[in-house]
Amino acid sequence: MEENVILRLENVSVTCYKQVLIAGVFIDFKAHQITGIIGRSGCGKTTLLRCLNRLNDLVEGMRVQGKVLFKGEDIYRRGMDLVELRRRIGMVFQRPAPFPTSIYDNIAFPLRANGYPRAQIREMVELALTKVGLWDEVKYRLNHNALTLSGGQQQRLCIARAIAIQPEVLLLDEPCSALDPVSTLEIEKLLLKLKEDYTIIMTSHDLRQVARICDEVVYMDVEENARGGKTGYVVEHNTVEKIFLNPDSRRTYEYTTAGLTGLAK
Amino acid sequence: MSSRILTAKTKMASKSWLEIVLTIVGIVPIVIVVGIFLVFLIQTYEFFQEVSPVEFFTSREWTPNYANAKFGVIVLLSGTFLTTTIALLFAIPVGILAAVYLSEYAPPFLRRFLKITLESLGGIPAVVYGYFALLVLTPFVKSTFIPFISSFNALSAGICIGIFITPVIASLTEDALKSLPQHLRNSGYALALTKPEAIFRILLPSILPRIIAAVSLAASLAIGETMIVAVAAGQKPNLTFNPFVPIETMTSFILRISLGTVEYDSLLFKTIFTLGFVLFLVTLILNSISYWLQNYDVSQIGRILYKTERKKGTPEEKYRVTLEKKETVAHKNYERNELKSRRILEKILGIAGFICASMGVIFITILFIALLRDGIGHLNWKFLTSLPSRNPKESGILSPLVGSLWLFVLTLLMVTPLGVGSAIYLEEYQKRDTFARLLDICIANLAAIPTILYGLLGLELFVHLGKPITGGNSILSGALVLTLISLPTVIVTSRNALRSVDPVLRQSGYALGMTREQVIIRILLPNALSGILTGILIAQGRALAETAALIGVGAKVIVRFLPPLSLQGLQSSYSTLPVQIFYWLQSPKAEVQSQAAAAIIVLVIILLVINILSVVARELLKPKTST
Ligand SMILES: Nc1ncnc2c1ncn2[C@@H]1O[C@H](COP(=O)(O)OP(=O)(O)OP(=O)(O)O)[C@@H](O)[C@H]1O
Ligand SMILES: [Mg+2]
Repeated sequence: MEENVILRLENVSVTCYKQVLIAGVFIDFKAHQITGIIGRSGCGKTTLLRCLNRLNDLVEGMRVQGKVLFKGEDIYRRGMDLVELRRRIGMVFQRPAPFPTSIYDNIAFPLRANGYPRAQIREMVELALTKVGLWDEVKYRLNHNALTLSGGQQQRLCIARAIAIQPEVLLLDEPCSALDPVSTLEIEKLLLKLKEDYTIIMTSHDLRQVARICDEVVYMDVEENARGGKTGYVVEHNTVEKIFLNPDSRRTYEYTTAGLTGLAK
Repeated sequence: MSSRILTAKTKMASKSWLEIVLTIVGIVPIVIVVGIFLVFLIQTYEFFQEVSPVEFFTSREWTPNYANAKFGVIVLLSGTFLTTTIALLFAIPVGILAAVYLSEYAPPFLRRFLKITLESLGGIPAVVYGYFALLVLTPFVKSTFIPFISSFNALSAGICIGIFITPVIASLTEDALKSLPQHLRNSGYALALTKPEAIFRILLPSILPRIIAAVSLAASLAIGETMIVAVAAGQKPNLTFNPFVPIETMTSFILRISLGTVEYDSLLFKTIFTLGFVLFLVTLILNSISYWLQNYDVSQIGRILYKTERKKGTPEEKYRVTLEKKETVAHKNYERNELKSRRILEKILGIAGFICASMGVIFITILFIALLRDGIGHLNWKFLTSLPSRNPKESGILSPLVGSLWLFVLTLLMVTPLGVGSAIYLEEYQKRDTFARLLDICIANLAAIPTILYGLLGLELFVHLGKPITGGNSILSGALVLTLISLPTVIVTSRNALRSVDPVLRQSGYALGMTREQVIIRILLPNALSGILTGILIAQGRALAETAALIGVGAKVIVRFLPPLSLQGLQSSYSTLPVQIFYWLQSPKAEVQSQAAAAIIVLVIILLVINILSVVARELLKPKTST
C-alpha cells in the first residue's frame, strides 16, 4: 500500500434490501488532503461517506460489501470497535443536528464521554469554537440551548464538535449548504488549515468550492441498473486540476462545465 | 333546469338525515362526560351535606359501615398511593429500558416478537393479574425473600399493576424514540458516543415531555386499577406505607361495597360516589397532563430550557475567556484516557434492556405454567357445560360463559353504530374548531377513566334511574356499561382508520360527482373496514375481560340458570366469566381457587382467539389499492 493512502475502498457496494445503491467503488483517499466527492443528487455520495464510519449499520436492511481499509485495517471485520472507529473518523451531516442541550455541552459532552480530562475541556471547547469562527458569536451565551442558534451557526457548531474530539479523518457531507457566503469562506479557510492535521473527505454541490479547496475529486454518477433500480458508481477520480481542466471522461466534462457555467449540455 | 334543481334538493335532503344522525351520535362522548360529571357531582354534594369535609380530609380512620362511622379518606388514599408508587417504581425503569432496547438495540426479527409479547401484557384481564399476584407472586416472595409477608399485601398487587402498565410506558416511549429525527441519532454515534451515552444524554432528554406523558397515563391507569388490588391486596383499610400488609384502595373499597347490595341514596351509596369523584378528578388531571404533553411540540422545549438556563449565573463569569490570543489558533494535541467502563456499560444496558423487553415472554410463560399447574385438572367438558355450584366437584362455567356471550353480542350491536358513526362525524363533518378540540379531549379522557367509574355511572343511570327499562341489575345494564367503556376505543381506532384512507381515493370520489354520503359509504367505509374491525375487536376483547364495572352494576355470582333467548333475557340477571373468576379467587379453599385457574384458561383462550381474529381482519381486509 502506498505510504500516503489512509483509506482504501476495494470494490465496495452498498445494498438496501434488494436495492443496489452504489456498486464497484475503488478509491484511495490520501492523507492530509481534501478529497471532494461530486455528482448529482441521489448518486450515493452520502451513502458512500456513511460507509466509511459504518453509520450505514444503523439503517435497517443496509449491507456493505467489499473492503474498506483504514490504515490497512478492514473496518468491516468482525469485532471492530465502532466507537473507536467513529472517534478516529468523524462526520458532519448535511443537516445540522445539534443536541437539545446548551451550546457548551454540545461540544463538552462528547469530549467528556471520550475520556478527555475535565480540566482541559473548557479550553478545548473554546479552541473548537474559535476554529469554526463561532466563538465571538456565542461566547456570552454558551449555556443557552443550541437549538436557539441560527441554521448556519448550528452547522458550524456541529463541525466544531466533530473536530473537537480530534479525529484523523473528517467526513463532511455538504458542510456549507446551510451557510452564508461569508461563513462558507470561513469554513473553507478552516478546512485548508485543518488539512495539515486531518484528512478531509467532503461532498459538495458547489463546484467552485470544490475547485477552490480540494486536492482530489471523485466524480460519481447514477444509472438505472438491470433490475430497474438506480445504482451509483464512480466515473472518475483525479486531481482537481485534471477534473476541471482536462478530465478523462466526457461525462465529467459535461457535469463540471454545466455546474461551473450554468449551461446545460 | 327545474329537474336539476329537484335533484339538487333531494340530494340536500338525503344529506341532511345522515348528517343529523351522525351529529347526534357524534356528540355522545360529550354527553357521557357531562353525565359522569353531573352524577358524581350531585352525589358528592349530598355526601358533604352529611359528612363534613374537615372530617373527610383529616380523619385518620375509615369505617363508613360501622355504627360510629368515620370517613378519613386519607386511609384509602394511602393505599392507592402505596400500590401506585410500587407499580410506577417497577414500570418506569422496566418500560423505559424495554423501549430503549426495542428501538436502539434489538435486531428487527426479535423486535417484532418482543413488542407483540410485551404489548399483549396490556390485554390480559385484570383478574388474571389478581390471580397471579395472589397465588403465584405472593407465595414466591414469602418462600424466598420475605417470610413475614402477609398473604394479602400491597407489594404483590403493586408489582402486578406495574407489569400491567409497563407496555403503556414502553410503547409510548418507543414511539417517541422512533419519531426522533434519524440525524440526531446519527450525529450522536458519529461523535463516538456509546449507546448508553447517546440514549441517556441525547435521545431520552429530547423526548422527556413524552416520557412524562406516558408516565402520567400509566399512573392514571395504576390509580384506577381495581381488580388486582381487590383480589391480592386484602380490602382492609389501613393507614400505612408498609407494603407487606393488607391495605385497601379507593377502587377496591368501591368494589367491596358494590359487591353487596347498597341502598340507593344511603350514606354508603353517596360515599362510593364521592370516592369515585375524587378518582375521576385525579385521573382527569393526570390524563390531561398526558394528553397535553403528548401533543406538545418537542422543539418548544428548546425555548423553555433557554429561558430557565438564562437565569443561572452570568455566563461571563462561568465561561470566561481562557485562550490568550484567539487570532492565531494553533493546533494542539490533547491527551485522552481510554475509558473501559464505557464499553462495559454498553453491554450491561443491552442485557438489562433485553430482560426488560422480554417481560412479556417471562410473565406469560410463568403465568401459563402456574395456570396449567393449578387449573388443568379441572378443565374438562363437564366444567364447560355445568352451572356453577358450591360443590367444586359439580361446578362449571356454563352460565358465566353464556352471560359473557350475551354481553359480547349486545355490546357489539350497540357500540359499532355509535362508535363508527361518531368517528365518521368527527372525521368527515366536524370542523376543526374549539368544539372539536373539546371533543378530542373528552374522548381521550373517556378512554383512560377507571372502568369502575363507569360501573358507578351505570349503577346510577341504568340500574337505579333506568330500572323500568333495564330491569335493574340486568344483562342490558351490563351491556350498556360495556358500551360506554368500549366507545372511546372504537371511536379512536375508527377515526385513525378513516384518516388513513388514501386522500386520492376520496378526491376522486368527489371528482366523479359523488355526494359526501356516497363517498363515505362507497369509498371510505370499505377502505377503512379492516382498521375499524380491528378496533372493534380490540375493544370487544377488553369488554369481555371487564370485571370491576360489571360488579359495579351488579353482575351476580353463582347464577344457576341461563337467560332466556328473548327480550325478557335482556332483563335477566347474569354472571360473566371474569366475575365468576373473581368470586372463586376470593375463596381460601385450594379446590375453588383451582376452578378459578381453569376458568382463567378458558377466558385467556377466548381472548386469544379474538386477538387472532383481529390480526386476521387487519391482514385479510387490507385495502388492495396501493400496489
Ligand atoms: N436509508 C435508506 N434506505 C433506502 N434507500 C436509501 C437510504 N438512504 C439513501 N437511499 C437511497 O440511496 C440513493 C443515494 O442516496 P444518497 O443520500 O447517498 O444521495 P446523495 O448523492 O447524497 O444525494 P444528495 O446530493 O441529494 O445529498 C438514493 O437513491 C436514495 O434513495
Ligand atoms: Mg447527500
